[in-house]
Amino acid sequence: MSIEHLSEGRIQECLDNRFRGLSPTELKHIKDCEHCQGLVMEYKLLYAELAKDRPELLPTDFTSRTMAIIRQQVLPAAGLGRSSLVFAIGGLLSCLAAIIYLFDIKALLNGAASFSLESAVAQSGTVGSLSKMTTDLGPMLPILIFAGLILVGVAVADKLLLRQKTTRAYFLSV
Amino acid sequence: MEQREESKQLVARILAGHTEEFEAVIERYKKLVAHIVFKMVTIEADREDICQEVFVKVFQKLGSFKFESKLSTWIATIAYNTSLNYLEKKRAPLVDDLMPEENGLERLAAETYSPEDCADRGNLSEILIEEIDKLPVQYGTVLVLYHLEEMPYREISEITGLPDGTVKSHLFRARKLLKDRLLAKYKMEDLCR
Repeated sequence: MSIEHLSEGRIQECLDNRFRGLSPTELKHIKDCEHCQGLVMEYKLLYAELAKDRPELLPTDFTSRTMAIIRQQVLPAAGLGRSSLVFAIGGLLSCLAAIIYLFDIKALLNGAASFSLESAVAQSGTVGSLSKMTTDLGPMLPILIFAGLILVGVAVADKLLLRQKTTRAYFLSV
Repeated sequence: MEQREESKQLVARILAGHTEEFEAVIERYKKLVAHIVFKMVTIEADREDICQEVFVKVFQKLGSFKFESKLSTWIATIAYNTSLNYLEKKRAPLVDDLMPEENGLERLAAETYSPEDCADRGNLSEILIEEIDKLPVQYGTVLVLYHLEEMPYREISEITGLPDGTVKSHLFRARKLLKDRLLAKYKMEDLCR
């Protein structure tokens, strides 16, 4: 035998490098030595088994459940602040629009001194007292539709524009 | 290189607000994460939760990922560190406490199985999985990353934070342990069948 047996570490190294980098003496030794050939065979078998694909470890619904956790726990916490602010502004705008529609805009612009609730009601063309007006849904309907449209508009803007920006801002903030 | 570019585009889309595309990240890397977590975490009931925790962390930190490494390496690092934190909390040993096992082959040889037992216990792959599970945590982890995920030493070193030489020595020791344990229980010809 030309040299001592190859160590197990060296044999593993040979297999890792697909027998590249072996000296001619080492190669000749493996070719002639039954002991080293046996070790190579044992490790080859082990390598082949180690590389075999394992059965799926996670359940099939793992992805959807993880996405649900991210949607419920991570994203809402990030997007709540700005989104709520926009909804609050939208709500205030709706109220303002309703007030302007209900009470004549001219009366508001003419100054608070000449403006009274009763006169405003009278100017808006509603007959009767304020209490009668509030019970009468007829004139309120366009106001409600108007306010509703503003809120829907804000919601759509939030969904289409703000959510994406919020997510981006979230990623930048963490 | 192509996959790196693809990953870059995917991450860019998620960061732009298309969070639903994170599903593709989970699908692509869940096997890698499971390989690491299932190897390191021994309590079955906790494994899936930790895998989920890993992906939540990946999502939360995605904005800070600068593509200095491959996306897979970065995700594997998070999986490794999350599992490590879990082990630290549970005070589970990584390598040192189990080292005496390395020389305790006499005890293992006593638990010899006949070829019939071997057949009863399923094929060699199943026996091997059982034996890998008995290995110290870090040995098993480097083994799985090297052989199942086909990662080079440098990448495993990046994930585990261990020097290249340590990764190499863990790998050599793990394979020798496995081979010796299997041969102590079965004859070579039984394993080759």
